[in-house]
Amino acid sequence: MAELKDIIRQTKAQFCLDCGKCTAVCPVSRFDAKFSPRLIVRKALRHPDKIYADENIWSCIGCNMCTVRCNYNVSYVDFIRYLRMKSRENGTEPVFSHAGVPESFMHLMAKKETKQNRLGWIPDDVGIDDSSSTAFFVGCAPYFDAIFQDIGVRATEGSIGALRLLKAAGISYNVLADERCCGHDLILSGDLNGFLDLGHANLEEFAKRGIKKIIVSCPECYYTLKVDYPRYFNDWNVEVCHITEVPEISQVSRHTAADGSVKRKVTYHDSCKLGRYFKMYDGPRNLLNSIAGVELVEMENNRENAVCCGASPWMYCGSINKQVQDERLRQAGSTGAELMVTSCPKCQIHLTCAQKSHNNAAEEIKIVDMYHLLSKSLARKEKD
Amino acid sequence: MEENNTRVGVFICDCGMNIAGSVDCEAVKDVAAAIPGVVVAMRNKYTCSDPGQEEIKKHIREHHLDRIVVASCSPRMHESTFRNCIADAGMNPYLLEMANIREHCSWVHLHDKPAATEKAKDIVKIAVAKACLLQPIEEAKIPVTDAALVIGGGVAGIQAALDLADSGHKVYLVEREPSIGGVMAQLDKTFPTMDCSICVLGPKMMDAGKHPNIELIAYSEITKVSGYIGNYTVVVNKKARYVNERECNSCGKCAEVCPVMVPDEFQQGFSSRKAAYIPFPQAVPASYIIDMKNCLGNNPVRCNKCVEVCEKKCIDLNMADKETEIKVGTIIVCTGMDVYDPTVLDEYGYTRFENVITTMEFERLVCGGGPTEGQILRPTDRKVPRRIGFIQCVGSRTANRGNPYCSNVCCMNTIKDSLLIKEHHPETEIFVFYMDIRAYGKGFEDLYRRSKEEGVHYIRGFPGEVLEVPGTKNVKVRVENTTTCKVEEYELDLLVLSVGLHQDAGLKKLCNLLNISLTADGFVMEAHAKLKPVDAPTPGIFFAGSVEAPKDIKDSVTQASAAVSRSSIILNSAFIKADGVKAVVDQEKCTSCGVCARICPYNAIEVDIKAKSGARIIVAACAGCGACSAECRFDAITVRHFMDDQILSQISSALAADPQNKIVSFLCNWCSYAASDVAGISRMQYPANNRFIRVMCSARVHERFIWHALKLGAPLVLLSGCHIGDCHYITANHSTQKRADKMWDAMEKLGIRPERLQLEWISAAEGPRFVHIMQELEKMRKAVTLEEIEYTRKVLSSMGDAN
Repeated sequence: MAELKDIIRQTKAQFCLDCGKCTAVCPVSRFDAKFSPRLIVRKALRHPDKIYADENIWSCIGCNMCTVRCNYNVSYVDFIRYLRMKSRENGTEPVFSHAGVPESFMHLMAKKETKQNRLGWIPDDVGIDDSSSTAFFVGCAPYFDAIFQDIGVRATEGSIGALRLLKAAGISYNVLADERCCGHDLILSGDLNGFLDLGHANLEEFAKRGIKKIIVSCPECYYTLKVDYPRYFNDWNVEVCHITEVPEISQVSRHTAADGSVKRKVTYHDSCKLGRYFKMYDGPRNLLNSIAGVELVEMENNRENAVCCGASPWMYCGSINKQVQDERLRQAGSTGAELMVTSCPKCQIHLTCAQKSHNNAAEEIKIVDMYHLLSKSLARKEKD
Repeated sequence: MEENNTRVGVFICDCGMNIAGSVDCEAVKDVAAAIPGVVVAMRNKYTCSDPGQEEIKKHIREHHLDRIVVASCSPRMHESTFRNCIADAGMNPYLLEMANIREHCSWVHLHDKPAATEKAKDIVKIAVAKACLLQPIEEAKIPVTDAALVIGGGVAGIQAALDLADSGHKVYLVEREPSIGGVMAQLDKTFPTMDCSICVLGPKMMDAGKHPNIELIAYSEITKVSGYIGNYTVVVNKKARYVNERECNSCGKCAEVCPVMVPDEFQQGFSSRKAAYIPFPQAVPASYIIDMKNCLGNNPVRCNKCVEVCEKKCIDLNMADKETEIKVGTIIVCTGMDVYDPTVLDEYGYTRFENVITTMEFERLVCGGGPTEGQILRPTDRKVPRRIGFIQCVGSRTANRGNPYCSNVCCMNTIKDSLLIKEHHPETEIFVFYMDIRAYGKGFEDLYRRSKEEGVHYIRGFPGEVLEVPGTKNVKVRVENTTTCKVEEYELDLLVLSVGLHQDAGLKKLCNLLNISLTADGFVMEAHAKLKPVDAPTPGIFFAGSVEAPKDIKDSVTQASAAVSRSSIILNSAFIKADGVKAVVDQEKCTSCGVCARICPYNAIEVDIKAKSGARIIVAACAGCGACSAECRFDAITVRHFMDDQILSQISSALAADPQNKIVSFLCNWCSYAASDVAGISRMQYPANNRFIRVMCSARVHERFIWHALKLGAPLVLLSGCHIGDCHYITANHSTQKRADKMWDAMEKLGIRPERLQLEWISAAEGPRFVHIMQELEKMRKAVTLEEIEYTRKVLSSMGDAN
């Protein structure tokens, strides 16, 4: 693993001006007075020996608001991710949420001998092409369906929607029977080895199936495949593209525009990865706007200023996270929209979870996956 | 060769430990002493010091030296010092050659003394090789036009124009806007003395407007500049004002009847003006102007009201732009800066919330001559704000949307503003959100203390975003008070963004006209950051004010007087000596083909092709770039001090031993050589295998030089100059590009990899880029095999001297 001094240089932490902008905009700091991205960097620069034991390093939700506002673009999230790796190397065990089930699934997937039934959820009409060198990367949606049945989230609905969009767009693609979790949550929770195991297994599967290009809908998978895989795997040479970047998809959506099927006021929740990390604000909005009858309204904080869904890896989820989520739900509720559209299955899970856990003013608003919504308007068109 | 007849003295400078720290100067001295033609070689702790120079003079007399090599710093630093030194001892100043063993060696190879020492020996040998062939040059005397052009009529330009005019020189003061005054005219008070800005500037503006030696050319722009120090010809485009400014008595009747209302830019859009208007009451020239973009007179149905009402008949809606040509000896650039536009920093809500304003807007709000007549009223409800916040460093000190530098004036400006508010309404609560307060100048700390005494709260930390409170239209900021590590919230009636300063929008275009460069910050580059801070690298051009870097009024005025003093040195002399580096035609070889005349960027060559007159150089106009010399197919033109035999001899010397390890690089004096100096001054480290040959322009590099280097076994040759468009010799480097293209074709045909000739444009500010290129070149050099070098040598040798 890299040395702290290298990480300081890579993340530009030494340029920190101590201006406190990061803390002022951090959604965690808003509710947790002890947490400040600035102070974590400061402590790491002054007392590197003590920082790994500092419990604050587990509070960051990785939303990247700090970096976007920072005068020197210090990569706080990368910095904290490294501190977590070192901390776990020193024996710290983080507290996992949902009784550690999601984390256990990831570790199960990291084992080579694990046999998965990954394709059972796929309906017949989507047409998978086994010989295609393009793969649609599903991610953990089938696992989420199993884990989060109780809150009524069906993450595979979004995946099915994405597949139907691809089919309608005339794109040939494969879905891999032995795909694994991308590893996003393991590396963000400091489990570098777990991440590397998953990555190696995926690389092997891609090579076996002759995959040259990956289309992905989950924003966190997209980030991991696009940014972390080239960083950690020298032989990585697969093109990664987000489904909203596929030009044919926008053609299809424009095609559906004529039928006027979905008449609804919706608001779009920017996921942090697609938004602040990749600045992909217009793509999803254009797709939603292309559905006839849809009126897109913005929340108080949107695009670069969007509030995070409140939790990223499956750990340390508590009252602070709930307050961030409640704030986001309140904003969604006050738009008067019927639907809150997410492009990330985890945003959908976290926000729904917050909605179910206690009554709040925004409970009325239905949280729905963007690809599911897009494919529904598509399906009606095809019926005509 | 006459080598054996020359008597060279080599003087090696330790420069304290600057050179001796990483170069074994004693070893360099021993090597120098053994070079044929060298009569004496010696070391000195500081060669540029008095004793150091005396030593040179003493040795010239004692040993009858006729060529001098000083191995020390960059010739851009001390060439003139040592030229004067040897001239004192009776030698022709052009018999000096400098070996740059500091910027090119000791400072850039700090951690490898053996390699640095070997390189220093080579650098000295290369210098001696050239020195042996140096010829004395008599400098031509050029008459000086006793007039100066001052570009920009802000406080710096006004001061410069007045100082020059008062000392008896003719001044043309050209201002882009309808009135002089610049940014200072818009300010309410000035720090640290709290003088009324327009009250101190107004009288100076009037003086400048009526001084018999100053010709004020307002509402005008420079469109063409040609010539050289002492003799510039400048074309000024005087934009149509549609009002005869000499006749207008500013009665204001035109504005009264004008039906068109537009936002008033002088009042930062807080109030409106007519299409017939005077920029502000104290404007100089004190004349109205018609804003033709908004005037109805431009429409088919003409309004014509102003024309009818003007008693003196000085409005002419058919007036056209007019170009005039002026001749001046020197130019002082005082075009100032622009204020940062915070629109892009959307989190501060400048365009979304009306009660978020900039410091420039605040100046107008608080000014007695402003739209509220000096009452501080906030935009939404025109009520007196009781809680006012300032965010510092908006657009400054950032790599993320804005400028990387400190804008210099904003801290003091806010401190001043806080006191102005307290003067108006002592009960106002003021919060200044800052990162560092930089109160470094005379009287500045005192003003800061006064502000604190008045109870202004200074909170160390920047808000991350600004929200508007619905209903009240107050704004809310959240900020981490970094001194207590607590997040605090403030609700404010008015928020002022303390915006930074940046390059004026028109500066790039002007720089192209004047042939001057910009630093990475976007401000003009000085000839020497420490010792020639108001000189442009182009002789006869000077800077003053914020065009050079953000600065306050006092510094701008100080710099203006400094620029005048530098400019007067030239204007006070009837003649100046022209640089000796000029092209010379050998009439016996010249065929009057006319190629040289076509290529000369200065039209400094005359030739009558039909009459076979032979090419003739206009000495005063020749800038010495050498493009003609490298282009002449008959070897009929050479450039004094950069002659073919001198440069070929430098190449031979560079490659005399272990050529496979050496890269030969031709650096142009103005950009790439300057960049190499920047790399040296900044102690940036790079591999020690490069051998540099300085030419005035990359266009001087004849194909023959490159073939010669390749034939002698150079694995790699670098040709480098200013970026296209930035060439110090206007367009000379276009011929460099063409020549490189031609060379690459020829190399390919001969089976020599074209990559072995590299062409790079490096600006004078690009020290880091220079270093990066050096590192890349070293990688490329390693990839050149000995077989390739041997093959090249054979192919080129078999062709004899054809190349």
